[in-house]
Amino acid sequence: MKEPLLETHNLTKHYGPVVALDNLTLRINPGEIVGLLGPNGSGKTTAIRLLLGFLRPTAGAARVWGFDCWKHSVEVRLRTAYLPGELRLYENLTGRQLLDFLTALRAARSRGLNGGVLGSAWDAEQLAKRFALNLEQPIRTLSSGMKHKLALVSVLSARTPLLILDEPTNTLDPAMREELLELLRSLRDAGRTVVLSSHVLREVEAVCDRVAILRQGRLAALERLTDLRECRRVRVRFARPCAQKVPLEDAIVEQDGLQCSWLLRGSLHPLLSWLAQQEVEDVRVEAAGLELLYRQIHGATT
Amino acid sequence: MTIPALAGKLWRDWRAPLILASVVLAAYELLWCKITDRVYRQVMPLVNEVFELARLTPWAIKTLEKRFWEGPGQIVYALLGGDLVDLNDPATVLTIGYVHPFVQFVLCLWGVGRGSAALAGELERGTMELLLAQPISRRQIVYAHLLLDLLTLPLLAASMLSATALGVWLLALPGVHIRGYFIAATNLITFAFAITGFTLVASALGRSRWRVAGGVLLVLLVMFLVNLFGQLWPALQPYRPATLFFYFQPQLHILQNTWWPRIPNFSWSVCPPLVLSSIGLVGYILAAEIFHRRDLPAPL
Repeated sequence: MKEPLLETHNLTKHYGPVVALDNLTLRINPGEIVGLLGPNGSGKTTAIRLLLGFLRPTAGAARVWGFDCWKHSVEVRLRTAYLPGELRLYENLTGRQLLDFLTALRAARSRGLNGGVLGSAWDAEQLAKRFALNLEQPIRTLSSGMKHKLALVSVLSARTPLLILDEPTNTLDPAMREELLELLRSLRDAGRTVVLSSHVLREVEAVCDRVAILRQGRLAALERLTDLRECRRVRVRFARPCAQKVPLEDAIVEQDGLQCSWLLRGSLHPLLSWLAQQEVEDVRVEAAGLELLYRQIHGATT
Repeated sequence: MTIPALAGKLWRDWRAPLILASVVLAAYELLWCKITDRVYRQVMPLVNEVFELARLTPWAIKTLEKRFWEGPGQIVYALLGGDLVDLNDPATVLTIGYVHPFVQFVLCLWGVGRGSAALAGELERGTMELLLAQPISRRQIVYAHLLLDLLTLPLLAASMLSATALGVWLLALPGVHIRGYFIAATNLITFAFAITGFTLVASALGRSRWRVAGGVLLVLLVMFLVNLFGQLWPALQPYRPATLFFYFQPQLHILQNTWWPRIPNFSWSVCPPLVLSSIGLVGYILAAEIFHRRDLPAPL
């Protein structure tokens, strides 16, 4: 079994009586992209802030490369590049000055560290070109989209083994979104790990290997995208009430009068064979991807 | 290397306010030299001439002075240095410039502005998130501010000191000993340092710059009034050493030419720069520990 790069064990955060994160247990391996999904207040940002050592856990622990995220947060952040969801930059600097400053901070700590976690100026330069970003422009004169690109350049050019991106495609135009997703795939192929928090299910589906769905601070599902793609939903409308007992009761997700839905993995043969003997008015089989799973979990609350 | 890199960035942020504050203090001090010159060469000779023409005895002059400073005048008298100042002596009149409330106000504004912007301000702006996404500890951020204080505060005091030297030289004011002014400048530096350290503790606990600044300014105002009225009302006297302003004694340093001046109405002597630098340092250490342990809220 691979040693996980990031591991949380019963990670919990309370704000007084409010439970922001409840017993999150998660293992993320090197070289995978994991999506964190959930509506506002589901605990995504709290989880990220706990991973970066911004918050002290009420209970449980989180580790990155074996370093405790609260006690050794500097070591964790040395190996992590983070793009905040609420982005604020130093407005009095130019893009290049900001990158130089952040690189200097990282360089001061990176000396003597094996593996090289420091991005090169060349990386930043190449990325800026790819994002059509003028690094000489003062940040205060940049549009919010350009500021976002600048922050992405600083995060992606740091050669850290772990990237935590909170809503990375916010304010990006569609072409840039695709560019970024492509870049994330290439980073994964190069062995880097990405934790991607997003509201955009399509993007998560397009780029992630696994997805963790949070609901009211709890981990509601942790699925492989390949498994989700194998999952299908079968909707049936019967002509009259079934005389026989409905099969595969465990897989039924909806049953309302003459209508019934199953969420199934693997072969549909047992269900279709049974349906062939029934008086059925309509049958629909659809790919039950991430969206379905998400709706199942958050349908009642979103 | 992290702290110098951080301090370099802070220097960039603070150099414009530093230049402004230095120019304001220097301009004020030059103005005060001119006021001293006018009091010494024009006002006091005229007053003395009037007294002479009126054939007033020293007792009568003293009584007149006493009546002049009665009532609300006592406050002004205490603010300017009380019995320590002899209006006929330019060397003592010049010292008023260093204890004038304007100087205290500028130094308080500097200290509160620096301290409140350092942590709470950065949290409020959301840039703390960007900074702490880098591999730096929260203590390093606080100590980078300490390094910045060690660079900026001497420059602030030097601007005032050089303006004093320039004014004394240009106006040829007699009897001024510059050594006492060096000690006074240290008092100025440590006073601003103590206020920064004091504010930094509140800043480490808060998340809104203006709330921190407002709260600290209120506390400082209370301290200022306790120290001021403590010089007039004996009942408030024992509380004066509990205020930062009690240790703001550049005038005593200049007039007594010592690090350990005797403070009027107190039987003991104290080294104000030592007390103030200790308060500042304790403030920094406390702020570093509080900031290191607290949860960092998401930007507002």
